[in-house]
Amino acid sequence: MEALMHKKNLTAFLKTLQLLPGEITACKTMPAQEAEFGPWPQINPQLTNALKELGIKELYLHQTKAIDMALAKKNVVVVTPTASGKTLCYNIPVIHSILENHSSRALYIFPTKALSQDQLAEINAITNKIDMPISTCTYDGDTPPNIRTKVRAAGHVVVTNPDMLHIGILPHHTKWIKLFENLRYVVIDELHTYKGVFGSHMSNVIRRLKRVCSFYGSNPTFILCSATISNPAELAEGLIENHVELITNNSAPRAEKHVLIYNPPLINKNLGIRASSLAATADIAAQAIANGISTIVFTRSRLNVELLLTYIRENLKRLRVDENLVSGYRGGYLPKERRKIEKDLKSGKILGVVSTNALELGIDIGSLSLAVIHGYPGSISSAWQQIGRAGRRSGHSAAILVASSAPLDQFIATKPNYFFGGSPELARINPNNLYIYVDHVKCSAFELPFAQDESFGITNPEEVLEYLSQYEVLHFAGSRYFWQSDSFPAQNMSLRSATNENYVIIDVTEGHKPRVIGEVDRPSAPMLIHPEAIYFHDGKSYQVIELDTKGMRCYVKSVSVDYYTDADLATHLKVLDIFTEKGNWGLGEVLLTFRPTVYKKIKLMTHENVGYGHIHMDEDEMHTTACWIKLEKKFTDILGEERLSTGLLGISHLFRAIAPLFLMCDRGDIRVHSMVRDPMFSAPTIYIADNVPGGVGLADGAFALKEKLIDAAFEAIESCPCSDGCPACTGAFGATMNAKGPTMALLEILRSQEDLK
Amino acid sequence: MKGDKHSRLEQILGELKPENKKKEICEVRGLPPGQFLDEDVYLCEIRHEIPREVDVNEHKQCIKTLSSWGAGEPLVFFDLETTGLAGGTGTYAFLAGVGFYEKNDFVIRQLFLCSPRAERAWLSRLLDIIPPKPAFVTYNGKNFDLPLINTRFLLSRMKPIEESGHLDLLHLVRRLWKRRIGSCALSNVERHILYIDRKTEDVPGCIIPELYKMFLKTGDAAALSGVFYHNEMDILSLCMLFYKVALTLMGNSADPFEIDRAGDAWCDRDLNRANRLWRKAATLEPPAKNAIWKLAMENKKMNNYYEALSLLMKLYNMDYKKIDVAVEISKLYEHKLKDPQTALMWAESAIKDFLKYRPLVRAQQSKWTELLKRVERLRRKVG
Repeated sequence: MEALMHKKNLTAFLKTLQLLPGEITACKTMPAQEAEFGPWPQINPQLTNALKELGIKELYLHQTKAIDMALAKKNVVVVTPTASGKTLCYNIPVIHSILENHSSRALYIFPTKALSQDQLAEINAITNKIDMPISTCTYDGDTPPNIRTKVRAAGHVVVTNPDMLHIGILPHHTKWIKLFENLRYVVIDELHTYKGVFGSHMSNVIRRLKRVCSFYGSNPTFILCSATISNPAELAEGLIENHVELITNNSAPRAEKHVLIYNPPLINKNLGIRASSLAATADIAAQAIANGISTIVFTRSRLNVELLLTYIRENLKRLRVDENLVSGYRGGYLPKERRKIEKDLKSGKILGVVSTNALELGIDIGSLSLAVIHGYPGSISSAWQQIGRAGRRSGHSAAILVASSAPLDQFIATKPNYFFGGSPELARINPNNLYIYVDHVKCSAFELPFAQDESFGITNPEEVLEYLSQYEVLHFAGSRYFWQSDSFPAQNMSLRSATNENYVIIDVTEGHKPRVIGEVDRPSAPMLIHPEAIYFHDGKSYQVIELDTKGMRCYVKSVSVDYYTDADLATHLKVLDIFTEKGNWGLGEVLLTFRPTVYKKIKLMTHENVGYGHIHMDEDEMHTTACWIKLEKKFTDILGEERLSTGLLGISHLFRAIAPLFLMCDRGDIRVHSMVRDPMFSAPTIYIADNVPGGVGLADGAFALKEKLIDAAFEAIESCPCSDGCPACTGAFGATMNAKGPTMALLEILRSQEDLK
Repeated sequence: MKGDKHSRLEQILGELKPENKKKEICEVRGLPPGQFLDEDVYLCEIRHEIPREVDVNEHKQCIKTLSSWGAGEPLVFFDLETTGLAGGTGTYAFLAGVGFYEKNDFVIRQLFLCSPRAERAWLSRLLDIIPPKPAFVTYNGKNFDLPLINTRFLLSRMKPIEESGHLDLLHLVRRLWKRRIGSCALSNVERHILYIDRKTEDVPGCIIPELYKMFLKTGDAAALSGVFYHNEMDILSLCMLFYKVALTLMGNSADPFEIDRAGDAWCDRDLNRANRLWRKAATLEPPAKNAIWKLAMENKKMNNYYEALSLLMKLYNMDYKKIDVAVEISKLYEHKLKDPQTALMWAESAIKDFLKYRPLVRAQQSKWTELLKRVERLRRKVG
C-alpha cells in the first residue's frame, strides 16, 4: 500500500528514471501549442447543426483548410498526428455532398478490416443526428451475401479495404453502377502504410478504379490522410497520379511533452550484451502505473505483449498494487473486448495497456500520460505515432523509448539526433515494377477492354498489351484489347507481395486433420521454411517436416523446442544491366541466386549456437534492382585479402541494420551482399538490393543516399562501446573475427575514395 | 546490354511461341448454314417439327404445373456459350441459343459473335430474335447465363432483357434426382434421366472457351461445329427436361422414388399435393419408405394417430430406420394414446437396436442419451 500513498506526479516520476542502472541518452521537450481555429466552412446547415449537437462548435485551421479544398474538388492530403481530428477532414465534405445531392456516393479505403469498423462508428455518430437517411456500410470479406446486394445499390458511404476493392468490387463493377456513376469522394486513410510492394499495388488499383470511374462518367476527388512522413505529397501524387494539395500544419492544441530514450546497461562490454529491454520496459511501466500515471506500452510482437503483461503484473504485485490495473490490447482481440478496455481506460478502472503496433493505426483509446515503447518500432513515422499516443490537451505527457539490443535500436540510442533531427525517411513506391504492373494491366483489361491508344494511369500500356495478346491472354480486334482467357486475374494475386506464389503452411500434427495455418511467400521460403526449420506461428513453434516445392506446400508439425533456426544462404549476384553510375556507386538490374546450405540451431533467450544441419534445396533466383559501391583496388590492396573479406562482412551487416532507417522499410525488404571480387567490375563490391522481384525503389533510394549511408555506418561502429566488434555493430560473425578494425578501415577507404573524386 | 521491355517481359512472364508473334486479321470461314445480320453477327436457324406426342393441352398443363417455379408464356429456352466460367466483367458470351415454339415448329436460333468488337450489335440483335417478354427456361441460368448477359448489356450501356418469368431447371433437377444420379451436370441428367446420348461431334463444355479463342486467331469456324451442336443439344435437352420435370411433378411416373421426391418438391408450396404424391409413392410396389415416413409424420400432425401408428408399424416391419421408427411409436403411445406400458416396450426395443450397432451410440450421442432419458421416465411412469 505504501507505493499508493506517496504517489508521484509525472514530472517527479520522470526524475526517478535517473536512478535506473542504464543511461538516458536523450531527453527532448516538445513545447506546448495553442489551438488555432479556422472560419466555419460553407456547409449544409443540417450538418452544422449535427456537429454542434455533438459539441463541435469550432474547427481547427488544418481541418477547415482541408474541408475547403475538398469542397472545391481539389485532391488533398492531410498530414496530422494522432488525435488531431483528421476524420472530420473527410467526413464533413462527404456528408455535405450527400446532403446537397442525395445520389452522391463516397468510397472509404482503409488498409485493414478492423479500422473500417471503427470509422463506421465515427461517421454514424454524425449521420444519426441528421434527418435524411444516409446509409454507411462496410464491404469486406465479412459482409454476408444477403447484405452485399443492398450495400451495392444503396450505400452512400462504402467502407472497404484495398484487397476487397481489387478482388470484390472492381472486377464486378457492373453491380456497383450506382456507386461508380455517382462517386464524388474517395477517402484513403493511413496513406503512409501504402509504401513498398503494398503501395505499388495500391497505385495500380487506383489506376483501375479511375478507369472504371471514367467509364461511368465520374471523376472523384481524393482525400488522403497520412501520419508524418517526409514525402506525403509525393507519395499521394505517386498513388493517385494527380496534383494533390498538401496540408501539414497541425493546429490542434498540444500540451508540453517529454521524449526520452533509455538504453539498458551494458552487462558484457566485449560482447556488447545489454540488460533485457523487456524487463526494463516492464519495470518502468509498472512504476508508472503504481504512481497512478495512465500508461500505454508498445511492443513489436504479440508474443511480447503477453510477456510484458506477465512481467508488469508481477511487478505490480511486488509493489502491492492491483495487478488488474493493466490489460493487454492487441490485434486479435474482439471488437467488444476492445470497446470494454477503451471504456475502462477512460473511466480510470484500468491505468495501463500493453499493445502491439497494430494500434498505432488510428484507433481511439483516448489520451494517456505516458507511452513506453519497447524497442524502436522500425520507422521514425511509427515511432512518432506511438509517441503521439501519449498526450493530452492540458497537462503534460511523456514518452520513453526503451532500446533493445538490436543494432538499429543501439544506433538510435547512441545517435539520437538521427531520430530527433529532420526525418530523412521517404515512403517509396514503384507502380511500374513490371511484375506488379503486368498483373494489374491484366485485371484492368478484364474489367474493361483497353483501346489501342488508351493510357493506364500515366503510363502507356501498349507494349504490355501487345505482349499479352501475343501471349493469348488478350485478343486484339477493332483497335481494342479484349480479355480472352478463362480465368479471373485478380483471384490469385496478393496486394501484399510482388509475386503470387506463396507456400501454404499446413499443420499435420494431427495427421487426419491437416490444418492450414499460414502462408510464406516464395522469396522467404529458403530462410524460413526449409526442411527441419523451426517455424513460429501464433506463439507456437512448429518444425518443417516436408517442403513440396512443386505443389507449393509446406508441412509442419507442432514441436516443443527451446531453439530457433537460422539458415545460411549461399547467395550469388550477377549484374545484368547498369541503369546509372556515379563515381564508384552504381544502380542496375541484377540476378540474385540463392540456395540455403546449412542452418544453425540457436537457443532462445541466450542465443547460443547449439547445433546445425544441412539443407537440401534447389537454387532459387530473383531479378531485382540493386545499388552498389565498388572499392578501388589500389586502396584495398594494402588491407590484404583476409582483412578485406572480414571488413566487407562487417559493412554488410552495418548496412543491413542501418539502411532500413533511411529507406523506411523492414529489415527483410532489402538484401545486402558483398563480393571480394565482382566478376564484372573486377573489384570488391557491396550491393544493396530490393528483396522483391523487380524492385520497389529501395535500391534507387539507397543510390540517392550514397555517402549518407557510409557516414551513418561509420558513426554506428565508432560509437559502439565494444572493442573488437559485437553483434550490435559488425554482427555475430563479425564479432568472432575481430571485425571492427577492418570494417572501420574499409569505411575510411569508402569515404576517402569518394572525397578524392 | 540494355534489353527492351519486350524481352524483359519474356524473361519474367515466359517466352512467346514464335508463331504468335505475327498478327494478321483472318477471314471468317467454315460457319454452319446461316446469314450475317451485321458485320461479325451471324444467325443460324433450325426448325424442328413438333412431335405429335406433345398435345397442346398437356403442354399448357405443364406450364401451369411449373408456373410457381417461374414458367410462363412465351416459353423461351435459353443457353449461352461463353469465354469462360470465371464470371465478372471479363467473361463474355459468343453464342446464344434461343428455343421457342412458333406455330407447329420448335425453332432454335443461334446467334454467333465473330469478334468481341461487334458485341454491341450482337446484343441488340439478341433482343430482336428473342420473343418479347420471354419466360426463360434455363439450366443454372439464374446464377450464370442471365446475370452474365445482363452484365454485358450494362457494359454496352443498354437496357437488359425484360423477362416475364424464369424457370431454372437445375434447382428442380437437384430436388428430384440428386440423390439418385449424383452429379446434376446436364450431360449426366441426359444420360440417366432423359436417356439421350449425344453424338461424337459434341464437345465437352470445359474446352469451349479454348476453341473460341482458337477461332478468333485463325478465323476457321469449322472447329466450332461441335460447339454449335453442343448448344443446339443443350436447348433440345432443356425442352425435353422441361416436360420430364413437369410430368414428374404431376406424379406421372411409375417410379415410387421419383414420386416421393416430387412430393418433397411440392411440400413448401402445396401440402395437399405433396401428401397425395407421398401417398401414391407409399402404395406403389416397392413402396417408397421415405414417403411412408413423411405421411406418418403428416398424419401425426393432423391428429390421425392410428393412421400414423399403422404407417409406422409398416415401416418397422420393413426394417426402415428401426430406431427412429420405434422411438416415434413410443412417443405416440406415451403422449397421444396414453399407454406408457407399450411406449416403454417400444423405447426398450429401440435401445436393443441401438446396442446391436454399437458404433451408432458414439456417432449419435445425443439421440442415445435422449433415448436413455425416455426409458428412465417411462419406467418411473409405469412404476
